[in-house]
Amino acid sequence: MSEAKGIGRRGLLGSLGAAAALGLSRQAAAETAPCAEDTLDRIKRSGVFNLGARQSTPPYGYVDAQNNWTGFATEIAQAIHAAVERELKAKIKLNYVPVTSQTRIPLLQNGTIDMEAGATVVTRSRARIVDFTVPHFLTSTEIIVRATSPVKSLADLAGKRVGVPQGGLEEALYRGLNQSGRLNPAVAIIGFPDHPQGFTALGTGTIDAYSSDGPILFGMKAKAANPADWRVFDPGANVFLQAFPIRPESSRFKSIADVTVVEIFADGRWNALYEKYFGPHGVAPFEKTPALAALALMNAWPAD
Amino acid sequence: MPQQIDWSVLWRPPFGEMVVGAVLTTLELSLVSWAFALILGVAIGMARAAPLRAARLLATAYVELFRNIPLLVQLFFVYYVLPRLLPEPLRQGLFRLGWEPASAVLTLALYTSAKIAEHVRSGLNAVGRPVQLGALSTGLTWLQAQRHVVAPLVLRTIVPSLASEFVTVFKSSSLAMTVGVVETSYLTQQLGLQTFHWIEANTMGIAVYLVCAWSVALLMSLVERWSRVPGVLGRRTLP
Repeated sequence: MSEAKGIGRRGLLGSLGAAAALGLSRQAAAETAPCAEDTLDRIKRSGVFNLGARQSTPPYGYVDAQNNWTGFATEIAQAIHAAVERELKAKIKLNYVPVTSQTRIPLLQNGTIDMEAGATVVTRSRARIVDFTVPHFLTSTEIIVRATSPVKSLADLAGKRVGVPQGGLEEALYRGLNQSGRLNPAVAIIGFPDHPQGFTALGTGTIDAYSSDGPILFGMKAKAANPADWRVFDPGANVFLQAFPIRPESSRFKSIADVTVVEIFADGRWNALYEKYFGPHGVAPFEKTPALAALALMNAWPAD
Repeated sequence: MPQQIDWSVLWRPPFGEMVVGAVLTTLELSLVSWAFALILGVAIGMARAAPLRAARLLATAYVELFRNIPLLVQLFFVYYVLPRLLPEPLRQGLFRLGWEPASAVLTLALYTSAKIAEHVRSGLNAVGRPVQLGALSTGLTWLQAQRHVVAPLVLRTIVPSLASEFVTVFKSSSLAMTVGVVETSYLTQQLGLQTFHWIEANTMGIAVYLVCAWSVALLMSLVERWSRVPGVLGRRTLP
């Protein structure tokens, strides 16, 4: 009896040890794999394409009423998934991993996701850490306020409370405007974990304005109970490109993703997607700026 | 991508200043919440044995309400919903004061006070009714008896439980990041996002909370030793 117990205990200890060892080796693999392996090989080996996607950031990425992952960026990423399947001549599972503006880069770095499709802006500091696919969009930081708000320009924000997404560019933008004295008295900057919390705070009057990427704000306005209650304006603070972050040293994966994005521009699918999400009857009506039109022209590389 | 570990991101400008500010915010949030929670919690806990039925009921309702709702849910309610229920001038005043830290302190104080009240109640049970009756029999009023006899004994009994609540306040203060308070947890994420030195930033966060917890444990063990009454404490010495 006691012997049986002893064996049982050893067995338990043994399996615990094995589990710990397995955990460690897995961890070690996760740490080295992103550096050593092209993302395309990783996808081929595992049969899974882990896509970092946005759950509640219309029109770029969201889960719709039928519980499907969709959105402007998500659909382009789905096309990249299809191109990867064609390249590998195999069925690859598309696994959606919900990310926020805070988690997207760390999850890419630690190998949890292979690519992120959201509204990620190409910045110099990010480009030192990750690679970006060919930019698929161009926008700027805008501001959403109540339609009745006296805030009509950047200068009107002085002394007000402005919400920003944690991990976005906006926090640094407004801190810079405070420090340079362009906003005097300084704005109070409040960071929210994700856009819905920021919009809730705006709705309850906890903040006077919420600032982020323009179409996200148009998406919020369109989804609000009464869109006419809200006003979005461009303070003219910046313009930036959006692209999908991917792990560096993945040139074969990058070329598939890049060519897919360019093909989407070249064969008219980009315009169709634009109509669907940003057109007058789209998810978040957003007028095409001249700079965005220029991007669409430039990124439609010739086939030969 | 393979990035060198570089601890200097924690102190070189401009990050050093941010780290110090965030740690001070964590201390401020925790200590202010704790001060309010201690006063409120002891009062409510004692009220649960008050001779007045209404006071007992009220205190029980308070404890059962605040102790049983997750802290994060309470924080969201206080931060997002409470301002809506207030008149405009008061609301603007709160916002000027800094509603983010204020709502975090309010929520932490309410939640923690309910838990302290429970410890006080268990302390009351431990000290026992005989002490209560004995104190009253000397001609003290109920309040005087509580103040001079019962409360000092109860508080001494529950010092170890209070120590663990005190440590919990520091840990729970990290939830304030969800409403945009730039405290230690918020900063670890901010630092990671700006420098991509996630290992250094998150290690810093862990170290700060550990040092806080250990300091509190040390402090409370000193309090325990200093406040010990030889021969009086402990159920067995009471009839």
